[in-house]
Amino acid sequence: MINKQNGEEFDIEIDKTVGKPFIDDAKFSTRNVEVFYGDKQAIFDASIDIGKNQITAMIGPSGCGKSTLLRCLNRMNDTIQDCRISGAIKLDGEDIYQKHQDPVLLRARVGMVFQKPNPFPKSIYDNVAYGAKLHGLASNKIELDALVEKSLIRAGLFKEVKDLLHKPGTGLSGGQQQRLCIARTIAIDPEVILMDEPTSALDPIATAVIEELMISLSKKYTIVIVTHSMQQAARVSQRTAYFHMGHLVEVNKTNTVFTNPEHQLTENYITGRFG
Amino acid sequence: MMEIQHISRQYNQELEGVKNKVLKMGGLVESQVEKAISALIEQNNELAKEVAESDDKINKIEVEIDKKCAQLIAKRQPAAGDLRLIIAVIKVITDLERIGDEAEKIGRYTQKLTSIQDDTNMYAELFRLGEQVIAMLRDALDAFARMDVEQATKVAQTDRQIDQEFDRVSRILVTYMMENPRHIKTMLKVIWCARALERIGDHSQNICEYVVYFVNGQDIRHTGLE
Ligand SMILES: Nc1ncnc2c1ncn2[C@@H]1O[C@H](COP(=O)(O)OP(=O)(O)O)[C@@H](O)[C@H]1O
Ligand SMILES: [Mg+2]
Repeated sequence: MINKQNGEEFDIEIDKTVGKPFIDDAKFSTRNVEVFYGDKQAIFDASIDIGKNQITAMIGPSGCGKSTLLRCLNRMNDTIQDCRISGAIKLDGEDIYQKHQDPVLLRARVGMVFQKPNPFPKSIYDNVAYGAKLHGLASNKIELDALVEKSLIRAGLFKEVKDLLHKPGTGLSGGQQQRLCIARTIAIDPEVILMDEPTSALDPIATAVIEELMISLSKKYTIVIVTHSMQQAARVSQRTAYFHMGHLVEVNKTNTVFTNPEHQLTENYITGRFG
Repeated sequence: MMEIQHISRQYNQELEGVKNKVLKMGGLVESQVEKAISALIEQNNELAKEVAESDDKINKIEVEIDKKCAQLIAKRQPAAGDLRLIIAVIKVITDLERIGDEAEKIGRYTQKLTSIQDDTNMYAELFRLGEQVIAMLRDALDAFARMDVEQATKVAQTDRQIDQEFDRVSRILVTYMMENPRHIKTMLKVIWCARALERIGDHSQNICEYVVYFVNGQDIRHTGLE
């Protein structure tokens, strides 16, 4: 493929993903995934395993396709017109794009947290209870109360809001709102949590709190995070995937990627060089 | 790896600056070692004194580079090749500083030795060891300056010859001691000087290993070079 640096074109090959894209204990595996928006191809031949109960970080320049691939993992792309996906994506060995698969059930198993905290214009309690009620996870008020409390505790928010449960979620600080969204996701008892730049709207302290939370959640959940902060990927993840113009360039243990990446493009990106 | 520039020009300059300082420190250390060896072999008291008294400059520059590296890590959070460069630099300057100490030691012993009358030809026996050590140090610094793994690997292996030469010199000095026990105190000082030279070889080998680490990201310190 052709790259540009200082206006000059130079060749750097992205033949196949380097590093160790495949592992034994995979929760998700994508194979030869290609994604198109209309005529425009956003993902080229992406094959990667997502490790169970660990954090996998997806990094790369903006527009390289991180969010696109992330959204494939819970079929959020289904809602985008003109978006076509080929290849295979398996969750626990089962193809999630098979006809009989129900995207709504899938999204309960694979929850998502977005860049901008987006609590519903409802009380803190209702924000957390909403999805759980929808999926019939509590049969009475007592169970629901317990579930809301447990979810808020897991999201590291309970202490701060236990006396405000019936105040609107939108009245919380940005970092608290994001933890509320995480509590809402956890309440549905997912297996995987996808996070798309979950701290980019937050200050450094709120970011550190969310990062701590991600690390503790990863004991129970499989987490995939898209982040434009390389330091964040380095801090929280066990494995890192580097994307470049729709190509999955390199996947490896985070320690390896940040100390000794294999591909020149990865090196250029994480050291802040042109390329 | 390094010819591709950072987006931040300031960062490029900072990294370049650190590297240049290391090269400058290397130059100073090399000249100290050269002088120490000349002073020892030629029994030049004046030169020995100069060597013994100018280690300060080297220590200062080491502290300066350490500080720059700490600032770079704090401000830039270097990764991959940049990170390995900084780590290699921090390690290289530690070895350079130690080499400076060894040269200083030779200077001090030589000052004492010049006041002792000696009728053996033992200082000439140190000539080859001195030559080998200075060549190894020079080549190691050269490999670092150019980040040349091939040369670094080759240079690291010459440490074995230095060890052999040191053994040879020690045997000769011990023979002198046995021949005339009055020489023991003098000979011990000379042996310490030879030992300092041998240590400079070890430090030069370390420098070569950091070059390999920086370029290949591979730590060969305890696995050996193949
Ligand atoms: N809904 C969409 N419709 C058309 N093109 C899109 C859409 N979403 C993303 N793209 C394009 O796909 C490419 C990858 O985008 P995205 O996955 O959002 O990148 P990233 O998350 O790495 O910034 C970009 O070129 C972007 O313009
Ligand atoms: Mg995105």
